[in-house]
Amino acid sequence: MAGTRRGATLDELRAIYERRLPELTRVAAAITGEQQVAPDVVQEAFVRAVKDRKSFAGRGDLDGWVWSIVVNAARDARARRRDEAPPDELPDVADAVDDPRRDLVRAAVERLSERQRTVLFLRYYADLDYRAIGQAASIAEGTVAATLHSAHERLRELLSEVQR
Amino acid sequence: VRRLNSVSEALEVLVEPFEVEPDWSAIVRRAVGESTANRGRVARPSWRGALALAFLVVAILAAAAFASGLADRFSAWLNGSPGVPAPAQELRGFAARNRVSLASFPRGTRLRLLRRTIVSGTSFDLLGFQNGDAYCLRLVRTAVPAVAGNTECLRADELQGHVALVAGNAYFSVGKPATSITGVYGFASDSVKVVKVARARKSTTVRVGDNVFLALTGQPQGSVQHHLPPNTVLAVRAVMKDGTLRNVPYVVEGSTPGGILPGGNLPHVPSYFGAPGSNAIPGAPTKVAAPINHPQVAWLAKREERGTPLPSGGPVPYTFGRVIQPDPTEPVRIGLAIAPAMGFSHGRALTGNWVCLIDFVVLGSGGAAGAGCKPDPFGDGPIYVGSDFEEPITRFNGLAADGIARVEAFLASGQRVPAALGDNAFSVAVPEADLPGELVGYDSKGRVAGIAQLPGNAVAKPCPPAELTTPIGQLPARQTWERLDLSTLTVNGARIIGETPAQVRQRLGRPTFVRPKNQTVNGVGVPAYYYGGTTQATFGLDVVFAKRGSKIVANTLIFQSPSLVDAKLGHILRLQPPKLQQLIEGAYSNRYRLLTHYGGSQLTCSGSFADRSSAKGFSFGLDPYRPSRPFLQIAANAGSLP
Repeated sequence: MAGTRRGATLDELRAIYERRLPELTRVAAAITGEQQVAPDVVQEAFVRAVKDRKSFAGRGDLDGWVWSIVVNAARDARARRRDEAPPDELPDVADAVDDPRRDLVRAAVERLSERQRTVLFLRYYADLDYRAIGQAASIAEGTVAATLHSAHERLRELLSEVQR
Repeated sequence: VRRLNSVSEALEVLVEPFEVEPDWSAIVRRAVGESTANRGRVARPSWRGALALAFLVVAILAAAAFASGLADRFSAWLNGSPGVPAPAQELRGFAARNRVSLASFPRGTRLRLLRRTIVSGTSFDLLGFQNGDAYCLRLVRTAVPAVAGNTECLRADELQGHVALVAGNAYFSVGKPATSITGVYGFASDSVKVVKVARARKSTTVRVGDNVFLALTGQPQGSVQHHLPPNTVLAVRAVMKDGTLRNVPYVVEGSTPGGILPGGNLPHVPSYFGAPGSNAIPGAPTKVAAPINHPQVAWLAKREERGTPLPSGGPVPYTFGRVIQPDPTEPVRIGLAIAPAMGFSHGRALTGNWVCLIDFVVLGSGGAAGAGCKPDPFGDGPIYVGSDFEEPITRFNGLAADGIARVEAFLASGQRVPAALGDNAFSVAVPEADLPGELVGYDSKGRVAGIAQLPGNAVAKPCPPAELTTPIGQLPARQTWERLDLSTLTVNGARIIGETPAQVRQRLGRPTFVRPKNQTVNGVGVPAYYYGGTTQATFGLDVVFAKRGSKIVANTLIFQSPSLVDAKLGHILRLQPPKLQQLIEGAYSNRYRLLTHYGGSQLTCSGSFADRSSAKGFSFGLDPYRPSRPFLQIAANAGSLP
């Protein structure tokens, strides 16, 4: 066939959307730090995926390509929120739910690097393998394990600190 | 507060699983600029969350609007509910047609009725529906909903950049005696108030609603004796809500060569549609950066069973054939086949295999619309444009060699339209008026691997003046066949039209040259006689015969001798055509009526008169590419005149 493949079809994208929507939304909520906007971030990402579906060149798998779009959309949304709102008014997950430990976790997670956070979320919330995480987070597959390990260790330390 | 004992427990607390309602249709709608996507899936939105959400909504809409260029301009469609639900009869008709067509739409496609109009006593319905990211219009007679009809689909990226776009030309023949109903239909953005359709006779203005317009006009088809020339659509213009006028790109069709009116304006001087200049295509690559050596389609050569089987009994007796759907969201199907070579070359039967590309009409009743075969489709490069369907949306179907990962059309209008590409078959629809263009194939690294040219449209140009270089006094002496009487349409005092070859020879003398089989009708050769020359370029009179029942009779006389003299007007082919028209109108107004004025509504460098008391008529003018030989053509049927 022409090239490695011809782009994604609507049916393929729809299958991923319907199969993975809970995990996609959860990762988006974790990255943006705001559960309320996560569904829209995922919608926006899929709108982009549908529009750009013909540009999927077949490098990596389609799941990874979609995940990368969702991750980037969530990162963009997070960056926009930070640009728009003063830090003391940033909405967070605590606004929507009642677990008092959430603030502590959020505080700890915010001290990780963006790459560490993303890899951690993709692993825990979406159960992606290293190859897919690499594609979704736009990092080399070989560095995923190390990043995940360091994120794990760092978060453990930070949680200990914030719970003292 | 319970202590967090692990990273996984902490992450479970950070974002707990929550319910999300999937809404795929909203995604598809928003992908084409949906402005009111369903939201509100959040259980308890806080005001800060709502603010952030509002910001996101704006960002999403802005992005969609920027990407599609449509979000604020086709609101009736983007809101998802233009018009009213189509009547059950229409839905049944569409479903029935869809079932039997190879190039079909998804089952369950829901149509909406956008327009119903009655023209010359016949009702027509313009229906609309969305298919994937394409907007589709379907025009049918209300009473006959199960026909293929006129169904045109345009993707958002094909609509982009236009305030309005003609999606289809309509041709219907209804009733007895027959009435021709012709016109155009298409899309118009929110900013368009009405659409003006300029025709050869009597322009019309139609309103825009649900972001569509429909302009149909009827006229009697007439008879041989009382023939009306076609009422060609010449230009389409949009009257904007701010009162300004915008040209809607349109390629004039009709019996004469079609083309573009620059700016949609009818020329003020006699004009014709001439060859386009070499238009530069904005942004289009001009060089191939990564050529593909020995381009091929391996799966086809290996006869892999991709797509679906190609129905047998089509236009090509193939040995292997498959049907490919380049984009699963579009109804377009392309047949690819390997067929044994057909025909002869230098007396020898051709051997080997050809690659054939077979087209199917959308909603056609199953059979192929046509096929093209070549021994080496990639002889000119890895992009083979096998076919194009014109009027007024041109669809290019073709074959891309292995190694081509993406195909894109670059248009003279500046638009870029990605082609659907699947299993090496590609298809792309572009507004015909936006041509010329280029089809560019890219490899997987994004490098230009192949370029194919898409030809442009003819454009209206002023008719050149007749080059009358030889003074009348220096013309050779008149022959008998150069003595014309326009008042009776006789030559040398004798009737020629309707006479047999023998009678013509008896009255005009022996022809200079005879083409014994100028045409063949039912195996019978029908001749043409040349007087005063032996070729098309040099004859002074060409007598063209036709078969009428069992007889062969003179049907048309074409004069181009500068020595031709009319009994009343003198050397009529030594006059500029507009002057000749003026003189004929003055001298023969009781006998002839002006059918088309010179270089006018038909946009050819000719004009015509019809006999008031018979079917006969004559035209006059010049070939713009050879203005030194003006012509006058007399025909038994004025309807056949150029």
